[in-house]
Amino acid sequence: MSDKEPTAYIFDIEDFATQDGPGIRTVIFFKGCSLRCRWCSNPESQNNFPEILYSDALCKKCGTCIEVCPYEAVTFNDNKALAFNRALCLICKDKPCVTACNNDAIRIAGKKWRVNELFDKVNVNSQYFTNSGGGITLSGGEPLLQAEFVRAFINKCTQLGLSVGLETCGNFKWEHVQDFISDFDFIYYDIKCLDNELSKRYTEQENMTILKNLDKLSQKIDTSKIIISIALIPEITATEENISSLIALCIKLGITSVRLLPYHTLGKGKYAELGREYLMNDGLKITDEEVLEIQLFFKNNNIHCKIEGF
Amino acid sequence: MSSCSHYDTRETKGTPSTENVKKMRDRYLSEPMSVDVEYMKFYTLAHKESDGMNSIERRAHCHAFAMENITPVIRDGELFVGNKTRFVRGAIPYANYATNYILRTLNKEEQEAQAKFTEIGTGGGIEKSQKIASEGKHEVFGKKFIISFEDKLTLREIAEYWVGKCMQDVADNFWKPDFDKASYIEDGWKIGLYTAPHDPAPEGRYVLDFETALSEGFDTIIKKAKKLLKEIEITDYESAQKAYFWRAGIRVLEATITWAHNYAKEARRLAKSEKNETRKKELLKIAEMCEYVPAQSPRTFHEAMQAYWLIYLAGHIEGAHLGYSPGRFDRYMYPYYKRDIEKGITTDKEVLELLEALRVKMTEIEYMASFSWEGLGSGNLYQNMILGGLDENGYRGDNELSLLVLQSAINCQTTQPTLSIWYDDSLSDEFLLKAIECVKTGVGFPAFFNLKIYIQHELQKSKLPLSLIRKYAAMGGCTEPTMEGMSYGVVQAGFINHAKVLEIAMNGGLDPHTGELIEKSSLPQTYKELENAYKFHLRNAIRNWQRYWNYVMAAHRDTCNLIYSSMLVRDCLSRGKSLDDKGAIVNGSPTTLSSGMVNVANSLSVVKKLVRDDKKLTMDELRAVLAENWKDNETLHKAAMDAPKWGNNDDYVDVIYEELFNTYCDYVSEQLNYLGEPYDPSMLAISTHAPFGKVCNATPDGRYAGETLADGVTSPFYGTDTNGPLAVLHSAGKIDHTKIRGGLHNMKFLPSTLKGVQGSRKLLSLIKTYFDTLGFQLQFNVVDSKMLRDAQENPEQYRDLIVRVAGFSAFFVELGTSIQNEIIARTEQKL
Ligand code: SF4
Ligand code: SF4
Repeated sequence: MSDKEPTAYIFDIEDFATQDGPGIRTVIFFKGCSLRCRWCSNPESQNNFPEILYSDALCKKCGTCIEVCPYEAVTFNDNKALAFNRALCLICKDKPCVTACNNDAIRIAGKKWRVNELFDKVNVNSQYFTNSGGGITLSGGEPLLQAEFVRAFINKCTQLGLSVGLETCGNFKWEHVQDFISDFDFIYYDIKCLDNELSKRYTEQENMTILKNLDKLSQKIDTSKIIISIALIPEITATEENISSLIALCIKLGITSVRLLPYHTLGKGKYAELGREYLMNDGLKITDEEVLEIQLFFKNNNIHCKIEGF
Repeated sequence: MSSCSHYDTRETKGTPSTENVKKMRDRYLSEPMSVDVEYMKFYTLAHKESDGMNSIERRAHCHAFAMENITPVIRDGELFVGNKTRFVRGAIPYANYATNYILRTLNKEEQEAQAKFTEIGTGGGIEKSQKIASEGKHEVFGKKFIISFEDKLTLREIAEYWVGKCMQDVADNFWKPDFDKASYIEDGWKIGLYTAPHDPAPEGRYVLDFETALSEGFDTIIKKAKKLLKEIEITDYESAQKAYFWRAGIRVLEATITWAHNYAKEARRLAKSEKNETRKKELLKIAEMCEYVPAQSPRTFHEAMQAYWLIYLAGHIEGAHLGYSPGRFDRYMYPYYKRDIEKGITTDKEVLELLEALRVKMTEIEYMASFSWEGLGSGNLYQNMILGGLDENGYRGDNELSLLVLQSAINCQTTQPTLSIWYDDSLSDEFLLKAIECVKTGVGFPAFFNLKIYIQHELQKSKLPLSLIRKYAAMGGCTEPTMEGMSYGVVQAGFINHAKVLEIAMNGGLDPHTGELIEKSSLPQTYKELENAYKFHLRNAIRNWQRYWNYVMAAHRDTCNLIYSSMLVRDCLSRGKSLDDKGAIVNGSPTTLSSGMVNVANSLSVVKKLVRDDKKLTMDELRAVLAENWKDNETLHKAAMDAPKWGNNDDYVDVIYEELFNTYCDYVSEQLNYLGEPYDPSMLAISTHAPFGKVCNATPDGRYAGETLADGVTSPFYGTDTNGPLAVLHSAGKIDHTKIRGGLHNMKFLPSTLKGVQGSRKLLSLIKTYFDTLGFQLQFNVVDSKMLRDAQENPEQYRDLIVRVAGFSAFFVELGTSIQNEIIARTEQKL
């Protein structure tokens, strides 16, 4: 470990989040994740470096950003639409394109934070945390990919007795985190597809590490601190087979709590802003009734099941 | 993270608990707003025949005569009775206060004159009025009301009689010729530095001593007055005034008893012909009650409700009231409730029905004013019922009745009375969670007020004993605390437009919007010079207004002194002095209200950043840009928008706001009011932020010409709070709220945020923590903007949608479009 203060890329900090753990919480969204879930509603969380988000809807095609970019990363293409050449864009220091745009059409996702700086930023809310039994939740992206930072950060928090929770996709190196993973007050552990083929197809990663880490985790910490988090994606994760396997897994590991995140397409626009394609089929939908049915399924197996955004 | 907006629905939605109440509420919702001339007709008649009487007795006599003669109206389903007018939604045209606007309205001049300044909603009852008028027997009065052709003739006669005699004319004849700042005031109106003259209402913002009125009954109070009258020796002007006051008070209280007896007679008359046996019994019970109260102390809770309503309503009728409030209803009514429950005479179910009916009764009262004021106040009466708090020993003040009052508001959703909570950590969980449940209906109340802060304020200001402050701390008006039953009320009925003060300061005393020169000052070239110029003009604007208002209050004393209310506010009776003669215990109450300070702080922050620190442009250049409304200057506009803004916990701008706030409080308290006490600063905006914004050019904070200002005290300008709700509260907690009486902070939540009891608890923790950090007030809108947009499109489907605006709740469809838009735009506190 170097003695330099660790830094991390963070793309959002949300005060007064009420869906990410008990009490009033501040959620820190880390940038960078090794999975590429097709349905991800925060695609800007995936790459571990800052990225430009460009909104065609807000852009008035004035061309100012083209003039100010020192690396000629912005151009008009043939049909007068603005094109970012992301290979040329260096997310340069002053980001003149962002300041120059009068229409807020260009944003940068991902800012470098030092541990102390981040801690000070969230710790102003400590009275709110104390009074509500809340705290801080690390989310992302995958916070544990920046393990050195997280270790330093959680150390600071636990010294003051602040509660820290974690949302993780499970794909991390166990050796990197084993010394501090039990310091979290709770862990939302995402499980997508238990079928490895589906996992490869829809998340671009095998699920072995994820499942192995969950296994280790459930032996290391009190399983009541683990909540399995399930994005309900029609035809992919919200299938009878997948849900049944998930229930079996919970029972096997002694995990008694899950939360369901019903599929939505609110993140779709961000794919375009990142110059990426949204690959989910149109018209996919999960109804309230289906969600409730899945919830009942869990409940019938004595697994506490919460629906978010319901 | 995942938040599925299509799942958003309101968690709680209530319905009236009985058919009776439902009937009353539906009747209210289907009625138009009407002008009722009856009270003014009798009042005027008495005035014509009482020439030569001393002013205090004459005032009492006119009101008393009218009370004795107005028609007692009992409506189907009512379980306790008393109506302000003959109509379900009726308003009294108080020509004795101001007659000019009535004549102007009758001549249709008012509408045109004010159209440029304010907007009035168009949906709901307003639409109904217009529809009825189109049917032929009525005419639209102003924009919202209807009046029959016959009453219109009477009203014209009345209005003409009061020319030269009404309070406004008497005041005008006093200040206009001799007040050396008279032209400043008139120019101030013209350019929108102040709200237009508040016709007719300066009354309100106080609470009667219901505790004594209920427990002693009017007979005892009259007896006391008679005794004092017998004992006094007339040795000078002052002792004679006392005797006049007591005679006046006796006259009015006796007339109020007669008025109650008229209701008893009417109930017996109706009972005679009533076929339905149940209703017949109810009517006979009403008759019995009105024969007994308010003369004597009520024997049951039901009778206490009847007594309370008559006592309250009689005060409402005496003056053109706004912010006249029921105060700590759950405290003074509790003994009657408890006695009945213990004796087994009544049940919570019956009590709930009465409380729900009370909501309808209080919502039925309408208020008419000059067109400009209807736009500003959104026609609201600001009747504020405050629950919780502490008792005199510092123990929690909530009780079973407090819970029922909250439940009645959940069941029977009406705009009035607005509910507030005096927050203290000791309040019971059950009560606080019930309060949040009510918030979750989306009705916009209760609002939460930090009792700690007000206690500190009152300890500094009135220096009353702590136990007394705990016991009688109440709310008079939308967000202004008052000491119940012992305070002088009359609010200084004007708002100062801070954004306009800034414009004047920036332009050497010239209003850039109209070109009018207000008061010459040098043209500021630096940030510091601008700050000083702002303070210079702010001080003038405040001081001139307060001096002007004292002239008006002098005229008020001679024309519209409140005799009935004086008899029911401590210690007027024993001192032999009316409210206007300093009979009350607390007399420092008039407040100067203000609107738009957040825009000024943000503007100064922009100047500090762009002119002082970054040297991006000079003051002259900035003036030019603003005159052009940021035209062709998008880059600069962006730089202005990017400068630090209030509501983000950023000291760069928060210190500016703090400084402005303190300066404002100091300037307000420098001036003495009509009773010789320092003015008490208060900040709220009701709906003034829209019309005030309308008359201002572009401001340095990036606001465009004509755009609405930020509302209230600490709510950020919409769209400029980008760091989440807690950052907003951190900013808001920085100012010393103990300096002011009142203030408000709006937060809007989507229903999903507050889901379940866990969501409720999170909201409670938020309130508690904000108050721990010495914030003063929080109020919440639980709606989603999609729903509000839909309500704009389809008002008919949202007839009963109530939203919190600024210190009060209103039917959304009845609000002006710009206020509607602002509510939608106000940063959504997405959780
Ligand atoms: S961030 Fe810098 S390099 Fe990238 S597009 Fe903007 S100006 Fe060009
Ligand atoms: S500066 Fe902004 S508005 Fe202009 S072309 Fe670039 S992105 Fe579009």
